[in-house]
Amino acid sequence: MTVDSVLPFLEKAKKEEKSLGEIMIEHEVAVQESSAKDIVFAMKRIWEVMVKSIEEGIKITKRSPSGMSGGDAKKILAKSKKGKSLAGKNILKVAARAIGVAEYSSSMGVIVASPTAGSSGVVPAVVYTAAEICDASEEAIIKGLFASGLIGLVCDAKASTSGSEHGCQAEIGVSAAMAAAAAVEIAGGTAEEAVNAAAIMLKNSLGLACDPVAGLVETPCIKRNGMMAAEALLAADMSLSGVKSNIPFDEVVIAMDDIGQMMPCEIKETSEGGLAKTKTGKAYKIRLRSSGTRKLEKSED
Amino acid sequence: MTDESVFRLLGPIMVGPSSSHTAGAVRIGRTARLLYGKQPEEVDVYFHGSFADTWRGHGSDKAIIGGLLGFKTFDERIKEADKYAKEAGLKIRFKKIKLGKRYHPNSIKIVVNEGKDDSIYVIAESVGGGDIVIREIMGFKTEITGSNETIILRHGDLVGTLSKITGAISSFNLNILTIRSKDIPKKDEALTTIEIEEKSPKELETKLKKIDGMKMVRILPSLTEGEEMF
Ligand code: SF4
Repeated sequence: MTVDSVLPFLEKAKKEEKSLGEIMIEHEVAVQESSAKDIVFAMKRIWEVMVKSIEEGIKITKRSPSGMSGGDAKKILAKSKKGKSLAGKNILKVAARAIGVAEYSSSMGVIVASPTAGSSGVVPAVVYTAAEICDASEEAIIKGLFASGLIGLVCDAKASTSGSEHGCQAEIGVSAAMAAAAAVEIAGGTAEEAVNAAAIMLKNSLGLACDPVAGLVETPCIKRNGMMAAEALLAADMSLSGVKSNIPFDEVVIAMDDIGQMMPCEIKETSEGGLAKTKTGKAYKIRLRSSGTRKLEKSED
Repeated sequence: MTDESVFRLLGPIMVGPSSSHTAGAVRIGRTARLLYGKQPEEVDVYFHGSFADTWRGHGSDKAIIGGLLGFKTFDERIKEADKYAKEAGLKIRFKKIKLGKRYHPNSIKIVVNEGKDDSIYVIAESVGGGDIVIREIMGFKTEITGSNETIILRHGDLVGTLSKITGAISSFNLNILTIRSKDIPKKDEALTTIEIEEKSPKELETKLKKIDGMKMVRILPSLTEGEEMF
């Protein structure tokens, strides 16, 4: 069995007057045939790793072997603390945290794939920042993470959560939709508002190409984590203000699947199109060949 | 993990940056170690396809070393795998290879102790999300995904050996999911791979080793063993 619609969950939440996170904890208990205590404990472990990846990410100063990333999170965070900011301090903070996690992942740090390693910055950064803004408890954070799970599950069942199958809409797009739902839950919104925020967010990621430069999860991936984390917070606020997505979430996922099917394989992680094929993109690929200390030995073939 | 679990979307916990080129590479390295049966000392690693292009940026070299040292996909030591390799006395060479079109674009060949009597080699694919498929073990085509425990046996091609093997397995009430057996080219030997449903007890290994003509017994635990959330 797969989770292929948000509707039964929304109905249950409404009927039992529960939040989406609470409903998803019950769901997980049923799926794992385990206790709520164990389920919540497992999610706390996930959260611990996420928090550590944020803390480590914003400290990074070293550039990656490709020379494309490293140190940006730190710069953005510094800006949030000093002087004027056009986007606002919270936006800078959430972007810095998301980019930090992505940089940490790039430097072989331990992260939580959410849903993938390339998109691992968005959910932690948005949850962390939403919790900070709302002064939320750990319990609320855990519920937020569970709420985000439903969004990911439906995307996975009805479309995909892999860039090689459906482009980046399915990776960072999905992670941002998951994060928007989590943020609503943390802010105390209803299940309906959480799913609506995810719909608003996912609509704005449709068609996103996966065209990583030199085949690495760095450009555009790392900065995109930051951009989309900022958007996820906005989607959550929009939903909480009463703005409704005209297309319901389930149908947005179908649209994502439809678009994913139509996308050419050049922009599905093959690095044969888009940014990977630009002059500078190709130059990075060549440069990478000669960086680092380890060299490949002469091969026999 | 079942399809409906939220931990499929929030997880696994892993060393970045790539589930296929890092986590998958760790598992391929670990598979070679398990096949060899002890800490390998001399290893040649061949990168095919996209690994040959992107190994550096994905840390696939460190990931494989980590796997050869027995690390799991979330082990922080992977980042400093070279240091731990030195401590373990592991010598490793990396080369590029063109295995041919038949092979998945994300393939790796690992040879342990090239040219020595106890040499083993394996070709495996990283098929995405950290999942791998073992395609070849010492010239023998396989299709092991590691979603279950797999028993790998090298034995003299004696009549009746196979029934002794299956007999030993069922004597522990273990369910056999798949079984493949084939002669190893140019040797008087056969390789048999058996996927079983449950985790086998230690005694099974001992019992299998006692079978006439048995040359090698390896038990590959399921790939995600030790990585479970519950
Ligand atoms: S661009 Fe491609 S590789 Fe990068 S995060 Fe998006 S889907 Fe993953």
